[in-house]
Amino acid sequence: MGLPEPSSGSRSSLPRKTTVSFTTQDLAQFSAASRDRNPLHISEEYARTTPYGEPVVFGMLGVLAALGRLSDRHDRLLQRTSIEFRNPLAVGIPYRLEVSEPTTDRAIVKLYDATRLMLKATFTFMPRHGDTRETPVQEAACSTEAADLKKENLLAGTRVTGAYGPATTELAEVIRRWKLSGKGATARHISAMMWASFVVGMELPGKRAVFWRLELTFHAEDGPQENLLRYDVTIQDFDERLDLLHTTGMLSAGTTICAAAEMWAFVRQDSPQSSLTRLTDLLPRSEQLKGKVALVIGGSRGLGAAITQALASQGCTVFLNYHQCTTEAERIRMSLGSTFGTIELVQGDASDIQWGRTVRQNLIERYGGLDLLICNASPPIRPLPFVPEKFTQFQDFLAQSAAMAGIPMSALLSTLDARSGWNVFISSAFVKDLPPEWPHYVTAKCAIEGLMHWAAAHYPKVHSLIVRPPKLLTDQTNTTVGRQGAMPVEQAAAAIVNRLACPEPSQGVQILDVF
Amino acid sequence: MELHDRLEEVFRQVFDNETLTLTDEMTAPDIEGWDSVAHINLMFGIEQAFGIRFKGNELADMKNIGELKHFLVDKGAR
Repeated sequence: MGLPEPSSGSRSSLPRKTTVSFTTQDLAQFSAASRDRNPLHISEEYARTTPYGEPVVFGMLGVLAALGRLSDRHDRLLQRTSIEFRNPLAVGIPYRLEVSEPTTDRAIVKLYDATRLMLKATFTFMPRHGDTRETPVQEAACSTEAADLKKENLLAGTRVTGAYGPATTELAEVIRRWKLSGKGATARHISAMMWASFVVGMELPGKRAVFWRLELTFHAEDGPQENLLRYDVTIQDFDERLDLLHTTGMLSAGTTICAAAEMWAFVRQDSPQSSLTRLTDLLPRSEQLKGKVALVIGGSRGLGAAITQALASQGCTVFLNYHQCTTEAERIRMSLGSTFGTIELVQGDASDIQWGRTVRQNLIERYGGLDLLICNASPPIRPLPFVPEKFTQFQDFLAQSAAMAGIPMSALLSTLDARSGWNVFISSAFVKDLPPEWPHYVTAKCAIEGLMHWAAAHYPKVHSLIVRPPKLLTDQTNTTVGRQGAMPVEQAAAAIVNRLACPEPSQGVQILDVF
Repeated sequence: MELHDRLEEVFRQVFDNETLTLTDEMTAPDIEGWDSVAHINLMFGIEQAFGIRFKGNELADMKNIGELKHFLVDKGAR
């Protein structure tokens, strides 16, 4: 609704509060319209190999959602937008939007996850002349696969040019879905915002991008202009300290500049992968575990992958359970080469009761039981403010975590008992360090540690080991700051397997927290 | 504006807290929301505001706000 007030008149300084959430369909629609097909946003499997664990909402989609919540501004045109993408947005989370419109020419929208600021967008408007006409935007064939530029390719002065045009039908759908008409943004403005998303997500740097900041200035659409948009983007700097890429770019129609952008994006480094060579350096071959049958829940990536390789290198038959990351699981299986153990892949959701029953039956039929159960799986881990409105997420995380360990244990403890096997739970040093952002994670780990104690009391022949590794170098910590001080997974895996190979394990629950 | 006030403004922006008041004795745990993401925002914000550049993760090694202010003065912060 438009507010009848003078051009520079003040509006309420009190922010309006509302909520917004995003669905998988919203991501698909934005992707189709903007032509930003970065897999971080649209591929479950790819997103699992990133620190975010699940597809991330396009930051620019968050900005459009914010724009759609402004008061109508039929007499204004967007002149500039300044955006800070503070934290990644997830699907299905109700975010709080706070809209401040101190004047008709300025609006600030902040998007929060409870108390955590996720995105801040500042919009500046200018008066719209009566004769301002909106130029249609022509569709253009754009690249369909995200570039994969690593930091060594990101040299200052490197330019990328091309034609850009969103998909017309899908653009109209996005405008309708987010109620963007009448907000002072023309189809070309929205196209320019989508272009920034496209450039960062598909071109510079492409696949590895995590969009961080954008300054976008729009130029007036006066006079006749070509409909086809072309862009020219140049790398200004790559900051090695932060893995931060700074680019500037222009979007033009013929000789007329439509928008000028300054963009910053983090460039994610390669996903850390466990190395069998490093493991065998740390873990000489022994006969102690030879012929044992092991099941690693969550064994395709990170510490689970390293434990899988380490056990196989000791002559175990290892069942590698994974849920979605088939490519990663295959890589671990193939990495074994001529090492004398074997790895078999067992796809499935370890929190599914039927899956637990099936695995138990298969293990008993084929091997007579199980010797080593390693519970390593976790739901995607995101910081979670400890406030009442986030308690549903808190409960969901607990329930999922408990099921991922509890269902395999409930299905397999009796077979471990029959063979005096090992029940191993990968907990975390966080149960002692208690970081402020992880109340759900700490609670889940502590709860499952409790279950381990119960299991040890009621299945006395089973050896129990709780592992509390420090911060590890995994997909989860593969960020600029996250990598600092993180322990390689091979080091932790070697310590765990050394403990399992101990010829005379002590009774009761053992804790491994020194690596 | 004095260096202290300018620094306080950067902190207020980064931590989205208009009432945040800095003291020389303050450390990271005293400021709600000082996580890894905020740390990068803060580093970038200070560099932009004062025209300086941290080496590596110099900011993380500083023991408190007082030390950060001395650092900025020594660097000839604009």
